[in-house]
Amino acid sequence: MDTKKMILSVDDSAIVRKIIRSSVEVLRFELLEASDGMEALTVLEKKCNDIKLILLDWNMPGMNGIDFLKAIKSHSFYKHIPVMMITTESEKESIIKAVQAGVNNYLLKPFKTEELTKKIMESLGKGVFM
Amino acid sequence: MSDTYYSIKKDEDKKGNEIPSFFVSNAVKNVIFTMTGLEVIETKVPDAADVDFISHISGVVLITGSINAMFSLTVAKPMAYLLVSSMTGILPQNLREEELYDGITELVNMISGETRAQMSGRGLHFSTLPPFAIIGDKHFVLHKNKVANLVKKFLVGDKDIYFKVYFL
Repeated sequence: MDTKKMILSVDDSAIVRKIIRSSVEVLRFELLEASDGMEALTVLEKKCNDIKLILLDWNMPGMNGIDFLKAIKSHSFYKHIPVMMITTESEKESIIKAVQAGVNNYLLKPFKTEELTKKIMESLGKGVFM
Repeated sequence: MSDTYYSIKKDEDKKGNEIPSFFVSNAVKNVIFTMTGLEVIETKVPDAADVDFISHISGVVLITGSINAMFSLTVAKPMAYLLVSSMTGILPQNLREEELYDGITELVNMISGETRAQMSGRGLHFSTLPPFAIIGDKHFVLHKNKVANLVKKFLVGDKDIYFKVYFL
């Protein structure tokens, strides 16, 4: 079966999704986009077998990042997908909360593109590039 | 007003709640440099009457918690094109107006995040409401009848950026 290589970006800012797109395309992944947690769940329903990583903002209208994270980590079909938070939430308590909810990696905004690419590769693990 | 510190004016009996002015300056410079690669220089603020004259886009964010405040980042359209084009690598002529608004809004959101991070080291904690943009030539922002408690001006090349803090 042909498995596609996709990354899902969940962020209410279209500009941030564009910045993420450039890094993802350098790594030869296809980017799927959602502007909040509910929209992301709809994308996941259709594409969960192809999505190798979720890049997740915290503060979004509608379903926020932490609620989305809890929802997918308690779902048997989705919980294996690694999640990297990309957020302005820098307080230790926030990071602990995300870790306890099952986040796999964490990147603070603002970020440099090189740092984003490095963190994405880190989150994907070596196996995905083979 | 001191160059180094300004006080929270909302409630005079709240002694000790101060945000070092350089936290704000550092946040503005660091966020813009990190996201765009552009060097930002802080400069002298002109008379209040001139401050709102260049405005076309303001990104605005409200923080609540130990301090309730509103931050705004105000630029004219050429500066918005420069910032958002540098953030995304998209040529200015290919940027849509709503992408400019989104980009400036995201920058003020990141600046508030960076300021909050610095303040958390002083035991002050905040949450942020979703940021938004105010658009229009020569617009200005007021809280009740007050202008901003803190106004800072920055330059990227010869173009202006204004950053303002209002205590609510």
